[in-house]
Amino acid sequence: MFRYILKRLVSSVLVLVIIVTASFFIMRVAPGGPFDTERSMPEEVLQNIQAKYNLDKPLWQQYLLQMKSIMLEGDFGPSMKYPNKSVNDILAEGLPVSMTLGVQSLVVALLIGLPAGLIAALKQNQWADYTAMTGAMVGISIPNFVLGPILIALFAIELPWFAAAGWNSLSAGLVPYLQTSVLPSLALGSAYAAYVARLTRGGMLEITRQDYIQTARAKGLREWLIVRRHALRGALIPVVSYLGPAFAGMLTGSIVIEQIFNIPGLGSHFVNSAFNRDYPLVLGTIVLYSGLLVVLNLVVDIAYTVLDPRVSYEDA
Amino acid sequence: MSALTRLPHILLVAVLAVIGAACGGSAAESGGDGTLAGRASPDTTVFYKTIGEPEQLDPGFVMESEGGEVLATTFERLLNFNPEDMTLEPGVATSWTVSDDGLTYTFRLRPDAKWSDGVAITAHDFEYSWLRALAPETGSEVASLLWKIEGAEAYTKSTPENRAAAREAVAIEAANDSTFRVRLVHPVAYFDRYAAFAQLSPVPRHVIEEHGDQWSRPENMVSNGPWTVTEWATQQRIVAERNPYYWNAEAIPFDRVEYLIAQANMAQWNMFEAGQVDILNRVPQTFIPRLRREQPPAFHEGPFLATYFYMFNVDEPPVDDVRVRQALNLAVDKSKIGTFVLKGGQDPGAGPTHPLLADMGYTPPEAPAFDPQQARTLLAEAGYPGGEGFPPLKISYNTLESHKAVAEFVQQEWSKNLGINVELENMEWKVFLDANREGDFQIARRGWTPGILDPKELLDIWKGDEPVNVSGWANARFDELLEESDRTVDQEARLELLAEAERVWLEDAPGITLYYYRQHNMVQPWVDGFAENMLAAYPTRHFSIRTTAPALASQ
Repeated sequence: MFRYILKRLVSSVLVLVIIVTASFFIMRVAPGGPFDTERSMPEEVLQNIQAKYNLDKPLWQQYLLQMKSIMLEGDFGPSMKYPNKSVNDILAEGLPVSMTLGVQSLVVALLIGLPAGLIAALKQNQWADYTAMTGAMVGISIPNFVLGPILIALFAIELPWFAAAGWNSLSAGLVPYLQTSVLPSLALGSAYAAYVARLTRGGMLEITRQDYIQTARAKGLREWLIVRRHALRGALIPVVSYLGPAFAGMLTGSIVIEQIFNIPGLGSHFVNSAFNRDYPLVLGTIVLYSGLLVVLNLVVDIAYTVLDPRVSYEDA
Repeated sequence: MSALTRLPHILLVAVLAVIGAACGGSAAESGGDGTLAGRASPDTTVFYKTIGEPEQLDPGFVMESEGGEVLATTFERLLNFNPEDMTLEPGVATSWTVSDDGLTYTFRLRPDAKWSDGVAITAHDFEYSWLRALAPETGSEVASLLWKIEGAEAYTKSTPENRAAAREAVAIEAANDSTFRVRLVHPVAYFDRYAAFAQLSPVPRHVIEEHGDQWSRPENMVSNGPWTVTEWATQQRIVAERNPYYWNAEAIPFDRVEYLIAQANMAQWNMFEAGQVDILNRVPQTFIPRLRREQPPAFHEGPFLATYFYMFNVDEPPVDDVRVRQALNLAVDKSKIGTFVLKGGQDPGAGPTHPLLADMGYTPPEAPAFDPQQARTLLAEAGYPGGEGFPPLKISYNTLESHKAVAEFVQQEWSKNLGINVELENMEWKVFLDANREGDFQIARRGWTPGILDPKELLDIWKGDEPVNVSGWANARFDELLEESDRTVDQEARLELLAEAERVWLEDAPGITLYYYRQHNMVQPWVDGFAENMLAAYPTRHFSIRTTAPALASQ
């Protein structure tokens, strides 16, 4: 197991190096530069600025300098758009917000999705099943950029319970935090809740037809005990394998929600840094997101071994 | 990690809170009666505003409006302008004089002006600050604002070898602690307006020498305005606290100014509607007709000193032919833009200057009016009768919904009135700028906000050697007239020269002015002191929050 994790980590670093290299060069192919403005600057001034950011050096030299400072010092350098801030500062400010929002949305997805899926499976083809699955269908169909403004209109403007936009971290107190975080995590989590519900229902239906469940029933165990002790573990495997990509999707896909609710996460940097040709910030967000994806996939793979004894990486 | 494990718990609390609030009775009504009901914060010592994310807060660098807004609140220039009548008022300077030849401006500084750390401000601070903006090592766009000063442009463009001498030659001088003097290259009747520009605020030398590039971060920030920035959380808020050393501290209405940062117009709008901010300067375009109908007390609109135009690349056929350019100009009914296309009430474009200039006595030459018949004749003369055989033509614009709407309208007009089909091409901003600089376009959308009410500021961008002018159009007569106006001190004669230059522009038609911008603001009913002005600049120190009880009848 330990060797497996080590192996995966080493290959992840390789993957990251390839990603950084590719993004570095692709970015430079795009026309325009960080210091292009409507009133172009005199050549002398421009040269001074470019020298400040090493942009006057040949591209391969810039690449090596950047790689060296990323790999050895973990330093992405100063942002070109926000010269007073380092890329590390900007990422450090945005990451906790994006993570908090992601985790909370995941919790929303599970809190709604799991019970809905379980009830639907246990009451298959009864009204509860139909209600839950119709709800799930609606949840999947409504995009979050529609749900977000509806939630704002209802619960921030008509009924002023929550903030229409902005973000308070948990350190500002529980109530201010919830005022800004409940609506966006509902908007972000609901589509995932719908998937979770459908996956849970599917998993449960499959498992409850297995022989060992029939055996448990024949023993005369009570239904909830069967569900809890025997069925749930197996039924959750598809849900767990979905959670990794789902969480990654919530982190990277939160850009829309971050825009609508004006949340200071990483999503907008991910997009705007590219528009601004803020090269260091582009690299920073790419490395961070790809790093998160790699780690999340690893976590999911490890979680399999916990849930399904048949999966093992010992001999891998 | 404890926050993570507590999350399910937190959500439960949230659900309970929602239920609790639902049972708690009716929500606050909007403050239509002029009371504070509907304001998210009951604290009237704080003023709330929403802006986009500024790039930075160092006056020596800021060129975008977001940073400019914060600078206007936290720094003070030599002069301030009064938002109501646009006159200049004393700032750090108590008085200023111009020499008879119009070249030397002398500012007398107040003795009680101080930085927010208590250090006194002298003329040497201004000398240091303006030279810093000009220095080639600084690498700032702000430099070009000061090039009207003798020796300034040469210093910015100096090489390391001649730099020291170039710096010596710049005519910016602190004669003593309280006298600041500059000499201009040529008379500029409105140079005192520059002295009120946020970018030309002084910067604290003693703090810059201690902290270097990092001096304008909130933890190091020292400024000289009514408030000083103390917190900047990226994409969240910028907080400015009262500066106890401000010379006019008693006149300052708020202890704190909070800028809530929101990039999207919709997010800004939501904050306004939820009462989180006191004023909104960016109203979503599509809301304007409805707001004009339904929100007359809160909704304010008026002209804004900025132009929106298409620039031709005069080296590219078919728009290298002046008859084609004139035909294209004559074939657009610009009066429809403000009423049917953008619906913001924008005035139809005519010449390259602005109708607001009438306020300062400028009479522009008459611009050709919409005339599809004449346009067709001109196009036929150019060799394309009825649009036949017209070469491919493309309008390029940077990606934005409103630019697209305008471009589609122009496309339609040309198709209808001239029988020609043009292509539209939207580009991401930096790609667009790159294409502009490379001359890789036929027609490009541009806009200009001069910031000073003078025709010169709008005509200057069309000079042959001006970096903004990427059209390839360089007209010797036009450049000559502008230069002659620089040498002319008599205001009336000067304006006549400028009108003549505008006539040259209209004849050659290197561009089409489509419309003049309009500003749209929303002001909460509890806010006093909003006075609309053509620069759309609303200094926070002029606002106050009304806390008086509403009239009995409305209770």
